[in-house]
Amino acid sequence: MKVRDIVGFLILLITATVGDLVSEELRSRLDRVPYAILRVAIRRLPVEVRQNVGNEWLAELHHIVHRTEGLPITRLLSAIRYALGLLWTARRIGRNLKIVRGQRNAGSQKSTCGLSLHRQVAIVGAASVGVAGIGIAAVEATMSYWGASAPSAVAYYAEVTVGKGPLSVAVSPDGHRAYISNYVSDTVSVINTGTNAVIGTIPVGENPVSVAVSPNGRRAYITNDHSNTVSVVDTGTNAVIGTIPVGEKPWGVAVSPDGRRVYITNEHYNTVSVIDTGNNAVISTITVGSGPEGVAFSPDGRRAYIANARSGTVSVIKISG
Amino acid sequence: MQEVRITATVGKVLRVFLDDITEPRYGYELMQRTELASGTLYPILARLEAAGWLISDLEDIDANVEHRPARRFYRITEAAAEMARSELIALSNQLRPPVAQRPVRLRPQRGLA
Repeated sequence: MKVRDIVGFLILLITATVGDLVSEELRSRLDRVPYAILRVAIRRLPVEVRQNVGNEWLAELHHIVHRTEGLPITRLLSAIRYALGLLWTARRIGRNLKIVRGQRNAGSQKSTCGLSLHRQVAIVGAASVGVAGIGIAAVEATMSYWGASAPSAVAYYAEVTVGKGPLSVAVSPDGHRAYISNYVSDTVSVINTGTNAVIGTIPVGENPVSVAVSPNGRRAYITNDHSNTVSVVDTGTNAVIGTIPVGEKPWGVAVSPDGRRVYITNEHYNTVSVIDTGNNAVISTITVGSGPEGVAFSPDGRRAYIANARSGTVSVIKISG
Repeated sequence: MQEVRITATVGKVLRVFLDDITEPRYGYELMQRTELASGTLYPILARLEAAGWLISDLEDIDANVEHRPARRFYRITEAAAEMARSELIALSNQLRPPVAQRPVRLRPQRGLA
């Protein structure tokens, strides 16, 4: 039994760490490693104290990484040592603290979580597409998020169980709802950010990737990687009200600030599809660099920027009128 | 307050708290002062907290203003500090090495060679 425990736990450690690394590949920031390990340790804590003790450890890790003396590599090693130590003892620590800390603070911290999501900067899907892609979809289908003023400042920690392979997230303009695409389950989970409860699960196309919410908060647009479509969701009823065929392997999605256009990057076609939100139809297709993925509008809506993963470039689209 | 078995390692942790019982202590600081790894220190802190020797609380900061999460600190209760003092004295009496004796020297034996 001991051996099985250790093996299971090593697999969990490796998948979670690999998952995190894969998703971080683009940023290639090594200082995420201790956080990845610590998150596995936190997951081993009994549920009653997970948030309370997890926050304590995350704050301490943040202190080690950002506020102690020494060379970055020394701090990184201290941070990894810190996280690894807790990995082995998390269960025992949690058991001991159940009575003194269990539940007591859960309520108050949950509400802070909801508030903080409103202005959150950093959101990380715990089970990244990298993990799902290499066939280890058995990792826990949870989404973790941190609300913070800076991406590196992990202020709160909460876990909400969503579908399998949560990949991206969009928050409604009023901050009350979060939409998460579940790449493996082919659904979008809707979270009430006040209570951290999943209040809806919307079946969309095959392998949903990105989500964007319209500026008025009434529509959500989701790119479906394998069905080559975009799903349009009415956020009032959480129902799909339209499915728009676009190019091959649609990846990124962004709604223009005026809410009239939706830009979709088609990863295989090297194009951007422009959708008119009035009639949910593609009105033009723009050729960009190779492997377009991320897309964003400037706040004035006069430029759109597209990150081209294969050509290593950014396409800038000038929008007239 | 429950009884806690005071091993040498637990003693090290309590010793730091006795330096100034009003001073809040943080996990990483305790790790450095005691030279214990997180995997050793935190179970001890948990045990001491569960037994009512230590109390922990969150630092009073606004995470969004400070751009960092609030840390949790530990403090020893007064009753525990008394208890810890006498336990540490007992422990150090137990661990104190005996007064150095002159090493026994082996002398070559005289006789037939």
